[in-house]
Amino acid sequence: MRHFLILLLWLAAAPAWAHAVLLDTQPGDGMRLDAAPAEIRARFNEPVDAIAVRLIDAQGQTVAGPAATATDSTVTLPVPANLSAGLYIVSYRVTSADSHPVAGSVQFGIGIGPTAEGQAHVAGHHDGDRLSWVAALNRALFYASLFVAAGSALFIVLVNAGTPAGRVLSGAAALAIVTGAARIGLQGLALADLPAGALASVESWRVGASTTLGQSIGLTIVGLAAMLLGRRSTPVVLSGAIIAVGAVALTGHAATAQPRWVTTPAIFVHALCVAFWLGALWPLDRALARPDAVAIVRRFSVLAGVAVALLVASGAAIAANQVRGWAPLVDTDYGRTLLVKLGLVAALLLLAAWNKWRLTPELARGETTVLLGQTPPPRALNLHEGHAHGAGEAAAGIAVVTSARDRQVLIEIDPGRAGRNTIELTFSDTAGRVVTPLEVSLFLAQSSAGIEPILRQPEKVANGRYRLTGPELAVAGRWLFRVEMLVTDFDRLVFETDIDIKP
Amino acid sequence: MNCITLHAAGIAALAVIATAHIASAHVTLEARQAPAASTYKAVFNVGHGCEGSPTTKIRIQIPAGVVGVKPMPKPGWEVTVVKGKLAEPYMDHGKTITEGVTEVTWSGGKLLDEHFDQFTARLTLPDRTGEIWFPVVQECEKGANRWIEIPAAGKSADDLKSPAARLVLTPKP
Amino acid sequence: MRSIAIAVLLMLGATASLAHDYRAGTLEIGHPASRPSTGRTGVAYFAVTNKGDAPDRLTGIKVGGGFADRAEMHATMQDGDVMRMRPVQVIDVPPGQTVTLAPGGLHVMLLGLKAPLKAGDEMPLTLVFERAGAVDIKVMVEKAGATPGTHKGH
Repeated sequence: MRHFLILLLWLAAAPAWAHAVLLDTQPGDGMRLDAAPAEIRARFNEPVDAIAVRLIDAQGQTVAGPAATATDSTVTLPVPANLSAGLYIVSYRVTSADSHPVAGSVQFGIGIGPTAEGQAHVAGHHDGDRLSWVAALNRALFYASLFVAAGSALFIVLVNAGTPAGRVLSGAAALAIVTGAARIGLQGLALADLPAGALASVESWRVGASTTLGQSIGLTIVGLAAMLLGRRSTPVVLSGAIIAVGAVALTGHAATAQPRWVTTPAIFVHALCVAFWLGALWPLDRALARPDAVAIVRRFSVLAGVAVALLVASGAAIAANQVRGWAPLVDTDYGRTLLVKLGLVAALLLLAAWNKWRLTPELARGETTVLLGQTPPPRALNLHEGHAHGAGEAAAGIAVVTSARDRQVLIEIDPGRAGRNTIELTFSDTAGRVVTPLEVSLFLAQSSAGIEPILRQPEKVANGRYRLTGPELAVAGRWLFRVEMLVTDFDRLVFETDIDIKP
Repeated sequence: MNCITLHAAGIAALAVIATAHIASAHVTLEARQAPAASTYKAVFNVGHGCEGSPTTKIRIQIPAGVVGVKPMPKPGWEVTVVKGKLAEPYMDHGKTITEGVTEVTWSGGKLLDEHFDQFTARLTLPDRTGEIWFPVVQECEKGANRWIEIPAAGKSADDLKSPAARLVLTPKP
Repeated sequence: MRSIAIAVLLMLGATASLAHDYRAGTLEIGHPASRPSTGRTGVAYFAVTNKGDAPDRLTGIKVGGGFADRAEMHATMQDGDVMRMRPVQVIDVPPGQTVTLAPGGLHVMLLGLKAPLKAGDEMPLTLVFERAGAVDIKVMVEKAGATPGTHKGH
């Protein structure tokens, strides 16, 4: 009798011996709600006890309220009535009949969708973002004013000494000096990762001045100052202009790429030609109104032909060195920028031809047209000046490498701040050769905010490369990343690392 | 049935449940230990499916040093073996054997989540003491469980989510 | 007699290669090496072994003596002919694991070198670990073709 009873109980208990499994939640994982729910329910495959079930807001704070209750296999957490719009995480820790704890987290949004829209309240007030815009604008102003100043000087010296381009030259040179100096400080800020306020400190300028960029700009400023101070002496203005523009060839990834005996002179020639074109715009326009316009445009045309030939030749040399093969032309930012430039160069050549065959005869007949074969300088368009060597990518966000046995995973998080992020996982062997797992799982947990692991299946985007975009890293602080990689059917590797997510 | 019987049954049931939690959540071996170098009847207990879904395939990887593997046929299931190079070649009647069974699979059946079944193979254990682990992949109509985790040396399997089936080799009698 | 001479030579060789290995707590840093450079960027390689039970992580590299502007840790990922490289902020050194910075994979980039690196040059670098702290090492520039970052025989 007793044995029979035990057997009966044993059979009845058998299905319950498995660990509890979460079947579904209300609201569901990744769901967007228009209004706060009255309660949150989690249904498991078997009866459970609720140990710790909490609602966590986007600031990482646990929402105060009554405790969760468990009825059979459903856990219910009442939600306070005044819950505001935003992202929330439901973190649960329950035990099943086998007393084995089971934990995890799900996410939902009120008024915003956790999987679709970004989080306006998180983005937008970060120094780094604003600074990078200021830096890009400043850089564009610097190149434009530098090229106009040097170009005006070249035009005065080479084409027509009588052009009233002196004021433009002085103004542009002064602007180039100011923006150039600002670039040194901004570069220092970016390198030392200082806040915007530190621009007033010596540190950011010291760091900025110690880089090749700082030295290059310093030389440019010397050249510009020579042009300003020695305005009346043609040799001083010419050499000042050449030094100011030539210094550009001392920094940047294109100029410092190997082999330097090709790249540095190529950039130098390229920059001079660009300056000549850009700087000629205004004086040429003014010259058209003068009686000797035909002579000036003729002389300009001859020099422009040489400049265009040199521009194309040096540009081709730089491009060939930077982009090898056809695929990078469309696959990389650099390649796409280059394609835009090539289009502009083609337009420039057409306009130059038009200038030569059409405008010059027209001018000779006494008709004046102001349209000129001008385009922005190709190099100035490329605002992504490389910090690193040729193949390095612009480094956004956080990157961490962790290993287990003979495998590595590169974890990239962009932007790496609380809120919506793109997480990329790239798996490789220890020699950096990419390997493709059979399956990848990612668990994200934040113990100080009480967030139990959120399980996600990142999507495969390339060989060995997996991506997840979402609001999982909702709060700042130290997150545990657990990456599970199925190597073969019978072999799973686990990588664990802590990554600090900034506010 | 009197009160005492019920009471005793309750205690016994609690004891069963208490010990069961270590084992039955996973795919486990019925006999948890065996003498080194002995012939062993490996019986794998499968107590549930994959989150409610019925089991359709059981794959067992043979650990290094385990040889002479012969799976027991099972009505309703097709048994297959994968042969390959052995991690540890062995001597059999004076000959060196370098190839053998590396994986055993039972497929084509259907074991409901609420049912229990056993999968059996006879094999020869290596001549050493300590633990050996049989990684098991349980495939279901929907999803799969991979009982393939092996704890690091000196660590317990208790913290593992899905440990492989464990066997302790005792000294030869 | 000859075998003894060979043994002595081998031992001397082993000591020589041990001379540029470093220890910090439970970490061992093996065979720091670099290669000659032609331009203003150079590379450095080494291997870190964590012999302890606790995880540690490499969080930065400082250049000593101003021979370069700065050093960055880079990861390279190769998929056939496609190579992707990016700076990383952290390289984990889990317990029991050896993490190798070697050609093709993880490496240190030396940016803004004051002079090209020549075989025989020695560069001071400081490796900053989260637990073990700062570790000063000297990186030897080896002839091109040597296999830095790996060390066999001890």
